[in-house]
Amino acid sequence: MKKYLLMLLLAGLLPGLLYAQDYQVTGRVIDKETRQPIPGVNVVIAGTVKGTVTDAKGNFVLANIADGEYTLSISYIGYRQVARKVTVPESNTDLAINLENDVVGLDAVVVTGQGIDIAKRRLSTNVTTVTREQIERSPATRLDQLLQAQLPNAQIRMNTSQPGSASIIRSRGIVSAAVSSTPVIYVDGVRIDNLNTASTLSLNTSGNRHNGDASSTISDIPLENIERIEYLSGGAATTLYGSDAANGVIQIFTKRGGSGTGNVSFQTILGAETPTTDFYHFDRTADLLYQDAFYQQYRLSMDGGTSDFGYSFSGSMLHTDGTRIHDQNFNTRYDLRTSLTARVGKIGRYVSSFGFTNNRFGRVRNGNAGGYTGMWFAEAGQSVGFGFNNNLDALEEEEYNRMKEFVSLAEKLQNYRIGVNRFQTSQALELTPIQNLRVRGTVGLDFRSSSEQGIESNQYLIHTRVVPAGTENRGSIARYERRFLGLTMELTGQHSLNVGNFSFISTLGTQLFRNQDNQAELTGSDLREGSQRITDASTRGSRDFLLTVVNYGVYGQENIGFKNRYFLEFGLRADGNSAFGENIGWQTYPKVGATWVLSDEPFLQGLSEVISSVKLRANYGVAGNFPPPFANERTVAFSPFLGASTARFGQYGNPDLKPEKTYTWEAGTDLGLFNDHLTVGFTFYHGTTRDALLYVPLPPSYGEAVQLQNAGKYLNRGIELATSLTILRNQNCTLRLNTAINTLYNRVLSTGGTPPFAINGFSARTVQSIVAEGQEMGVIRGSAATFGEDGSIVAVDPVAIIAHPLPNLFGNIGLNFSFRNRLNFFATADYQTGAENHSFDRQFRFQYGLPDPDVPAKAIADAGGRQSAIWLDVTNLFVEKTDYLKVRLIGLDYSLPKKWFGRFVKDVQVGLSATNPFNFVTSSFDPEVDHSGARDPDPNSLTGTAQNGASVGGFNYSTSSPNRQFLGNIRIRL
Amino acid sequence: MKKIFLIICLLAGLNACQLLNPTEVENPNVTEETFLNSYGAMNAWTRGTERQFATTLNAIVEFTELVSDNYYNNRTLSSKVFDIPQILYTDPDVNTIQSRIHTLRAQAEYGLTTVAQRDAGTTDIQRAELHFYKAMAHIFAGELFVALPAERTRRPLSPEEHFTAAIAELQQAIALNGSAANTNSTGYRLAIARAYYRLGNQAESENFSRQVLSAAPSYTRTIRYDALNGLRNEFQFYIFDSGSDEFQPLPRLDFLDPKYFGTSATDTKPITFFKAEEAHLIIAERQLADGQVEQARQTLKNLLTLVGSRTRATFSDAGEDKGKVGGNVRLYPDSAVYRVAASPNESLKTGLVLNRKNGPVTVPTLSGTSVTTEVIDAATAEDALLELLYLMRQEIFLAEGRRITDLGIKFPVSLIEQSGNGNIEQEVTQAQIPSFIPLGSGMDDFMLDRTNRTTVIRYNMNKVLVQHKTSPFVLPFY
Repeated sequence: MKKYLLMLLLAGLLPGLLYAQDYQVTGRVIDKETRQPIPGVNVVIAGTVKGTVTDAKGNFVLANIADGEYTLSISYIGYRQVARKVTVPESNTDLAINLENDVVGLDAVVVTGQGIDIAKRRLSTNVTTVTREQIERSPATRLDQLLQAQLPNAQIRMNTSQPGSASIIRSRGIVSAAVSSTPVIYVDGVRIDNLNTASTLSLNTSGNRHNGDASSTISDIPLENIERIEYLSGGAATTLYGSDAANGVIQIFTKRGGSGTGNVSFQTILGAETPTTDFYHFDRTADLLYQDAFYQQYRLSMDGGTSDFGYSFSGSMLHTDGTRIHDQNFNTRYDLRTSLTARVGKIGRYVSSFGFTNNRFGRVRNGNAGGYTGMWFAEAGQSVGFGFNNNLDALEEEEYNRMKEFVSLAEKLQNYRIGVNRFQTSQALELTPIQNLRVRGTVGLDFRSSSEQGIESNQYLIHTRVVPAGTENRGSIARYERRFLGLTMELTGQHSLNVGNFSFISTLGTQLFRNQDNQAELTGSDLREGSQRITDASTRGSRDFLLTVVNYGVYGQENIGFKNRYFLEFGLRADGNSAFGENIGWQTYPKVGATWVLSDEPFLQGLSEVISSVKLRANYGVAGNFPPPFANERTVAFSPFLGASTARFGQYGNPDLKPEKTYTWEAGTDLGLFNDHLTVGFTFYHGTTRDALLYVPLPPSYGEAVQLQNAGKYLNRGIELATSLTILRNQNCTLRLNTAINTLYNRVLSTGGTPPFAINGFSARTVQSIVAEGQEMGVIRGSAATFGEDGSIVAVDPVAIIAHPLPNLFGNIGLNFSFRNRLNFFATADYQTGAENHSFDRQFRFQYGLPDPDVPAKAIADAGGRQSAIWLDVTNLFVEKTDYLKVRLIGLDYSLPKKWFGRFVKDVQVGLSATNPFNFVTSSFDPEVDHSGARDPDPNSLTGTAQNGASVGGFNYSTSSPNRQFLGNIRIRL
Repeated sequence: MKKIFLIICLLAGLNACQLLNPTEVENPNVTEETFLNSYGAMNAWTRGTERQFATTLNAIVEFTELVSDNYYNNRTLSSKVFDIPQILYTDPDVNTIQSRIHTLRAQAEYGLTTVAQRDAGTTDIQRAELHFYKAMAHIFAGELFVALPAERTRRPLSPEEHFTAAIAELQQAIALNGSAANTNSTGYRLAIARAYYRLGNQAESENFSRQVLSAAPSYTRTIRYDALNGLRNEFQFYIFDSGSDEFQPLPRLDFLDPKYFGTSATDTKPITFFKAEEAHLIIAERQLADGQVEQARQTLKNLLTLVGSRTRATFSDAGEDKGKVGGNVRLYPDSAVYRVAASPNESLKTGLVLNRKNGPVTVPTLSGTSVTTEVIDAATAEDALLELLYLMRQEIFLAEGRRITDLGIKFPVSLIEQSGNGNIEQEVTQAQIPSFIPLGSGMDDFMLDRTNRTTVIRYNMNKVLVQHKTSPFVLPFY
C-alpha cells in the first residue's frame, strides 16, 4: 500500500505529463525450450518509450494504452529478439511469448559506441555481454574480480589479497607505455573514475613504486543492482569513445524499474575466507602470518513498477576479518543503488540511478616496503636480518615460538587504514519525438573520496629495530586525501529508417567529460603513542596535487543494412581535450566496417540444420589515449626548502603533445552450428599504436629531465577465439562449455630513439620491466650469468633481457549445467601460457643464505660460499615460466520446491560457492601476483609513482595471493 | 504578447549557461612567463639553485662514496655495482649524477641570464652566488667525469677546460661580491684553490689556500637539507636512518661513522663541502711535492689542531649492528676490541672500531682523523708523510664525495647524453679507472678474524696512491 502511495506521490510530481489511457497489454514470456518463465525481459512498444519488464513469473502489464495497432519488441540477453504485433483492444491480453535461445546473439541488442542500442547482427565488431545471471552467481565484491574469467578476450589479474588493491586488466596486448591498460568504465552512460594504479599522493605500504598494494578505484565501484555489463576490447568498437578508449570500454548498465506489485529479495552469504597457501616456500608462513576469516554479506533488493513508473533498489553489507593475523586486512563495505524510471509525457522517459559505496579496510606492509615486512621476513629469508634462522621449517619449536611472538607484535603494531566513500549518479531523459527517432540526454557524475592513513609508532619502530629502544620522538603519521569528481554530459540521437531492402541506423551525438582529481598529503612526525591526529605531531608537513582534464567530442555513425544481411558502417569521432598541446586542434578517430550475415542467404537455407548462423565481419577503426593533463606545458616548479619557496625548471613543455592512437583492423566470423549447439566467434586483429606517448629523457646536458612526447610505435596482434558447446539441451537439462583462446604478439616497433627505460620494477641493478625497441612491452631486464661446464660463472651481462611477462596465449573456460532451471552448477577458470616472471622472493632467499636448486655449487664456492656476493649476478636463474590454469569459481545454486513455503514466498534459492579453489601452475610462486605498479620515468614527479602509468607486472615479491572463499548463500524472494 | 513573454523567459533561462562551464580547467601549474613576471623571481630562483646544489651533492656523495674504498653497500638499496667498481655509461645512476650536475649548471645560467634580466631586484650577491654554483658544476664535472658538455648537446669539455671555466666563474663571483667580510667569498677562493690544485698549479692553489686561511682559519661552507620537505641527506639515510644501515665504512674508518645522524624523523644533517682543512692539505701537498718535508710536517700538525677543534657528537648508534652482522651480509668488526691493519703487511691498530652496542658513541661531525702528532713525527720519509696526508684527506673528507677524485676514478658520459648529442665520441663513454685500482670489490675487501678479533684490510689505497704518485690520474702535484 505504501508503495502505491509513493507512486502516487511521485506521479503527483509530474502534473500534466501523464496521460490517462484506457487499455492494458498483458502477457507472459517463457523460454521456448524449457517452458520456464523468464523474469526481467524488456517489453517495449516499438518506436516509443513505453515499456516494462517481466516479473518473477514472466508476466508483464503495459497500462494506459490507447486503441490502435502496435508492435511489441521483446528482448532479453541470450535470447532472440521477438517482434509481436498487437491490436488494442482486440488482441492485447494474455499474450504468450516464447523466447528462443540465441547463443550466437545475432539479434541480441547491445549498446555500443555511444549509440543507443543496436542488434548485434549489424555490427562488424564484437561486444561481450556479462548477464545478470552471471553477475548474481559470482560472490565477487569488486568489478575486476567479477569480470575475471567472464570476459573471453581479457586477462584480469588481482595481484594481491590485500583489500582495495590495484589489478591488471588487459585485452589486446599493451597499447601504451605511458598509460595504464585499464579500460574506461561507464555506469549508465557516465564515465567513472577508473584509476587502477596508485595515485600521485597515496599511502605507501609497498616500497617506493607502490608495487603490489596501490589502491585502486576499480575496487569500490558500487556493484549492486547491475543488469548487465558490456565489454568492448578496443579497435573500431571503441572508436566512437574517442580519446581515451584505446584500452577498451566497460559499460555497466544498472537495472531499471521492476514490474508488478513489487518483488523483495533477501540474501545472506556466509562462509570462510582462507589464505591461499599453495605458493608459500615455507609451510610455517601460513601459521606465522595468516588466519582463516569469517565472511558475511547481506543483501536486500526490491523492485516493482508499471509501464509508466518503475523502481529498483538493492543494498548490501559485507564484512570479513581478512586473512591476515590481527584482522589487519579486514574489509567492511556498504553498497546501495537505486534506479527509477518514469514516463514523461507522451514521448519521454526519465531514467535515474544513484549508487553509493562506503568501504573501509586495513592494509599491511608488503613487497618492497623494506624494514619489517611480513612476507619478506618469512618467505624471502629476511628474518635473518632480525637475528632469526631464516629456514622457518627447520626451526626448533622454541625458536619458532620466539619468531612467532616477534612477528605477531610486528603485525599487530602496523596501522594502515583506508576509507572510501563513493557516490555515482546518472540522470537521463529519453525522448521519442517522432517514430524511429530516439534522443537521449545524460548527465551524471562520479564522486569518490578516499582517505588513507598510516601510522608508525615508536613502539613499532623500536620493535622492528628501526630505532633504538627508548626512542620517543620517531612516531609518524601520514594521511592521503583524494577527491575525484567526474562529470559526464552526453546528448545522442539515433534514427532508424527502412527504405525497401535498405535500412539505415544513423547516430549523432556529442559528449563531454571532465575529471578533477584533488589530492593532499598530510604528514606529521614526532607523534605521541596512541595519537591518530596530525595535529598532535610536533612537526607537520603537507603537499597537494591537482589534475583536471576536459574532453569534448562529437560523433556520428551510419549503419546501412541491405536485406538485413549486408551491413556497412561508418563512424567518426572528433575530440578536443585540455591535455593536448596548444598546436594540436581537434583529433579525429574514423572507423569503417562491413558485416555479412551469410546464413541468411537463400543458398544456405538448406543447411540450416548444420549451419544455423554465420556472420562474417571486418572493420578498421582508431581509438586513442589522451596524454596526462598538463604534460604539454612549459612550467616552473617550486619546492619549499628551509622555510622558503624555491624555483626550478618544471616541465620542458611540448606544444605538439597529442593523443597516442591505436589503429586496428580486424576480421572475423560468428558461427552457430548444429542448431547452435556449437558456436564459434573468431577474430583476428592487428593494432598499431602510433605517436605513442613516451617520457623521452632529454640529454642530461639540457639540464632538464624528461618530456612526454609522441615518439613510439607498438604492435599488438592476435586471434580471439571463443566457443560455446552445448553438450546437452532439453527440457530438463542444459550443459554448456565455453572456452576462449587468445593469442598475443606484442612488439615495441620504435621508441623514437629513446634508450630503454623502465615502466615497473626496482633499481637498474636488480630487475626492471622495460620498454625497448624490438622487444615485447615490459620485458624484464636484469643480470644474466653464463656458466662454465663446472658451474662457475664465466660472464655476467648486467643488462640482459631475462624474462617476458606477457603471455602469448591466454583465455578462459566456463562450464554451466542447469537442471530444470532449478539446479545450476557453474565453474569458471582462466589460463595462460608463454609468459615468465621473476621471483624476487627466491632471489632474496638465495641472498640471505638459503639454498636454491638452480644456482651451481661451483659458482657459490668460487664466491667463498658467500651467496650474497653473487646474488645479483645470477638474476636470470630466478626466472620461471608462469603457465597456469586457475579455477576461479565453482558454484551450485538450487531453488527449493515452492510447495515448502507459503504463498508469500516466491522463491527460495540456496547456493554454495568456492572462489579460487584450485591452482595449477608451472612456477614455484603465484604467477598472478606479479607486483604491478607503474614507476614514473619523470624524476620531477612528486613520488616516483606514475599515476595511471603503464605496467605489465612480472615480479613475484613478498605479496600474498588472492584469498580463497567458501561461501554458502540463501536468497528468499517475496 | 504570450510569445514575447515566452521568448523573454527562454532568454532569461539561457543566462543559466554562465553557471555551467564545464570546459574550464583549473591549472595549478605556474608557467615560465607567469614566473618571470612575478615579484621576487630571482630570490626564489637563487634559493632553487641552492636546493639543486643540495640535490646534486646528494647524488655525488651517495654514489662516489660507494665507488671509492670509503663505503661498501652491504644491502640492496642504491647502487650494487659501484663498489666493484663497475661503471657503465648505460647505468642510470651514472646518468643521474651527470643530470644533476648539468641541472645545477643550467639553473645557474638561467638565473644569470633570463631571470636576472627580468627581475630588476637582482643583487650582486645573488649574481655572485649563481656564478659560484655554475663554477661548482664545472668543478664537479671536472673532478668526476672524463668529459662533459658545458652547453646543451655541445662537445664535451675536458676536466682541465672545466676547471679553467670554473676559475673564470669564481673570479666573476669575487668581482661581484669579493670583500673579505663576505664569508661566501672565502668559499669562492677555496674553490679556486681546489680548481688550481686539480690543474696541478702549485703556486696558485697555495696562494688561494693561504688567502682562505688568512681570511677564515676555520672556514666551513655547508649545504643544509630539509627532510620535512622531502629533501633529506641521502647519505645519512644509508649510514644511519635506514633500518638496515646499508652502507658500511672501511673498518679503518669505522670510528668516523656516521658523520650524519638523525635524532628525529626530520633531523637531517648538512654536508660540508668547503672547509679550511682543504687549504692545509693543499699547502702540505705542495710543500711535499716541493721537497719541503718539514714545512709539510708542520702544516699537517697545524691541520691536526684545526681538526681537533672541530665538533664531535655523542649519540646512540645501537642499531648499527644490523648492517654489520645481521643477515647474510658481509660481516664487519663490531666492537672496540677489534684491531685493524691497513693492509696485510701493516701493523694492527686499536681505536679504529667503535663499540656501538653498549651505550652512546662519540663521532666527529665535521672532520676527524686517526693521525696524531706522534704519527706525523714518526713518518720520516717524504712518501710516508705523503701517505699520511692522503689518509688524512680520506678521513677528513669522509662522506663528502671527495675520495674518488683522489683515487683517479672518473665517470663516463651517459648513454642518454650520447643518444641525443652527436658530439659524444665512444671514448668518453668509458669510465676512467686507473690500472692500479683493484676490481672485484677489492678496495672494500678485508679479512675478519672473529676469534682473534682482528681485521686486515686487503689494500691500503693511500699506500697504493703514493706508489703511483706519478700517474697522470692522481696526485696532481706529482
